[in-house]
Amino acid sequence: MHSETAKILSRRFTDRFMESGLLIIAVALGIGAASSGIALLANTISSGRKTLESPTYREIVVSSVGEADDMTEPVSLRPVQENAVLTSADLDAAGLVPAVNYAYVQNYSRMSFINEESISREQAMRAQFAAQAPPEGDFGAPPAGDASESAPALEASGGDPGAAPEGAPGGSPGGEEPPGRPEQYSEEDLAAMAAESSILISELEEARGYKVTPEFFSASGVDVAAGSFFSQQDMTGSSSIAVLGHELALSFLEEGDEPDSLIGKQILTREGLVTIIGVLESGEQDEVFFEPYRSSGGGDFRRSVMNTQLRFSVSDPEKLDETALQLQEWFTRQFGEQQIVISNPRAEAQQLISRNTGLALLIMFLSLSGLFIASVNVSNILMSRSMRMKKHVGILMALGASRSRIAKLFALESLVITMAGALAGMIISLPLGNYMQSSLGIDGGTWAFTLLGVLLSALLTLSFGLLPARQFSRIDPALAMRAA
Amino acid sequence: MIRLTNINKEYDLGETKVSALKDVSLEIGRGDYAAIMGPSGSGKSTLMHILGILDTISSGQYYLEDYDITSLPDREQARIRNQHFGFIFQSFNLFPELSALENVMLPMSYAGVPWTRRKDRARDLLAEVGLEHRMTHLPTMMSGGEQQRVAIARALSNDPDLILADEPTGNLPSDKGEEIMQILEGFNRKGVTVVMVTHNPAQGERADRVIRLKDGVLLPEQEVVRA
Ligand SMILES: Nc1ncnc2c1ncn2[C@@H]1O[C@H](COP(=O)(O)OP(=O)(O)O)[C@@H](O)[C@H]1O
Ligand SMILES: [Mg+2]
Repeated sequence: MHSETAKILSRRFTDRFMESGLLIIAVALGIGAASSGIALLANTISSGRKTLESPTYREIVVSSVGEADDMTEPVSLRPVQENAVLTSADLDAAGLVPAVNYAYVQNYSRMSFINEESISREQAMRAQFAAQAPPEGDFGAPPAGDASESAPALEASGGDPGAAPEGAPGGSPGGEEPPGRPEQYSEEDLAAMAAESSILISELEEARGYKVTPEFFSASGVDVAAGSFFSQQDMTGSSSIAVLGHELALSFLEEGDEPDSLIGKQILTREGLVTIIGVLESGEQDEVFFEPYRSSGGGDFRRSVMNTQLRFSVSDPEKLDETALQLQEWFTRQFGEQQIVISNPRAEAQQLISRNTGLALLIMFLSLSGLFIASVNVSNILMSRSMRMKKHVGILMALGASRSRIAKLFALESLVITMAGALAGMIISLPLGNYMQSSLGIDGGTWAFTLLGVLLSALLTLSFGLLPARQFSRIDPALAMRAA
Repeated sequence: MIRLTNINKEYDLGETKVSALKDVSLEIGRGDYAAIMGPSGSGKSTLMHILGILDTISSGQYYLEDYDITSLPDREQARIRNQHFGFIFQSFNLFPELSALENVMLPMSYAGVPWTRRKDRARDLLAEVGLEHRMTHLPTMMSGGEQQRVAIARALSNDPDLILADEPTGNLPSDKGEEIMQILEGFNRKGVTVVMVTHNPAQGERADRVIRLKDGVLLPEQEVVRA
């Protein structure tokens, strides 16, 4: 800058390095805290809104008691296990509750894939067991009891039955987890399977998913990118079929292949071959698969483990409370008191959101108070700095500086301090804001709100910082020159 | 050049009012060399500030070349101070953050003179007051006499018509004061109008006219007739 007047200020600024540094630090801390406070509140509100827009929060979830606190206690301790067992037939409740537009079952499920890794892992495990177990502990026991769970699927899918039978399901209620329960494939079997173009070998260990009834797809509002959803017939059939989420489908595709090419192909899983009938558009359900929920079969074991969750979706969230009451009534009539849990995820989410909003509001209030105090002090310090310059301001005017030039000069000084503080404050508030958000469990926060917060708080600081400039634009030069 | 008629200046101190100038009428002609004299508190500085458009007047008229400048907007008044007046003060009033050269350059920046040209002109002016070896020095490293010479160079930077000097030698030993007097008189001979406040009767006698103030009242002026 070639202006001698600006040099006066900048040299005063650097000559009083300590004071100037402290000023900037005060501004930085104030703006840092305030902008993270503002960003926190904005993010809390916006992420809360977004959360509640999800179809999940337009539903009432009905499950049997004991499932609500899912895995917190061992299965055997659940108190009312046998009494209430929900099935898809209970979706009929929807017919009596007017606000419900979709009713469906959505149960957790899991698909374990068979591939070279899983085979070698299994072999290693087998070898370990063989080494540890006493000779009597016969792990390679011949098939006992019904193999109904997996065998039909295999046959129906036309897979090579020879690949399966060795050491088929032991019927142990320990159930889903290995070791050594399901069909065993050798590496040669795998190679043979892989050679068939219609059979897909996943590189993943497993995938999570849901067993659902067809209305799930209508309720969640997703669409297929290829193939189709389940039909009502698929619900009663016995073929193993699945609809894949977008990301999951991509894991089966070569670079550049279209999802269409997956339709009709079969995935090799521990439960046999599963035919892909649809691939979803990318969206909320990207990494999961869906298989038809079939309530038949399974016996006591299945019933106790597979706790069925019914979901009733309404189009107008306002009606959720009323719907919950009506469903409560219906299920109490069916199963008696205290057997069924009717939960309203939206109400719970709203509670959490309003608690978070309250906290964020408090934090913002406190941080803004901090900024306010910092700004008042900065303004004071700037004022006293300029007071010491009062005589010089008079001289500047005598030499031909207009009032507006003087005002601009002091405004520039505050602007520089505010900008430097805002920049440093932003460096503080980006991680601080992130940390506060993650500690409140808010995701999807954006930098935009932090920037907005920095902007707003910088404006507040600046408006205080401009007070000396205002004051000095009104100064009386003759009076100023008489100043000491 | 300047015509003041019936100027009154009152300072409002809440309950009481201080009358610093009472019904002052005065004309300053182009090329004049005038000394303002009077006891302390008689209103000399107030008169200088009014002449320099640094202070408002309570009543009366101020004409600069037949223009009533009291009604001009601040920006215009600042422009007149910058381009037509040069101020010199008792306590030099240089900016301690700026070198001698930069102090002299400052008023030219308000006149929109480009950096290289104002640097060149500041060099010339400092050479003219005998400070070519002091250009880059800060005021704190200079003697009072040197500082006042920088102040004179600064006052002359925009080629003013009028120099207003309020006790320019008041803080200087007499030999240094004499240097300052000679520099000012040199510029006066080149056509610059000089109005100077002084307590020193010998200095006052060197001026073409002596304006005497007592308690804010202008005493009848005696024309100094030179041989
Ligand atoms: N800002 C002011 N407020 C009140 N009184 C003032 C102010 N400035 C000057 N005065 C008074 O005006 C009178 C003239 O002062 P001044 O012009 O400084 O006198 P001089 O320069 O002759 O010593 C003095 O009585 C002084 O006290
Ligand atoms: Mg005085």
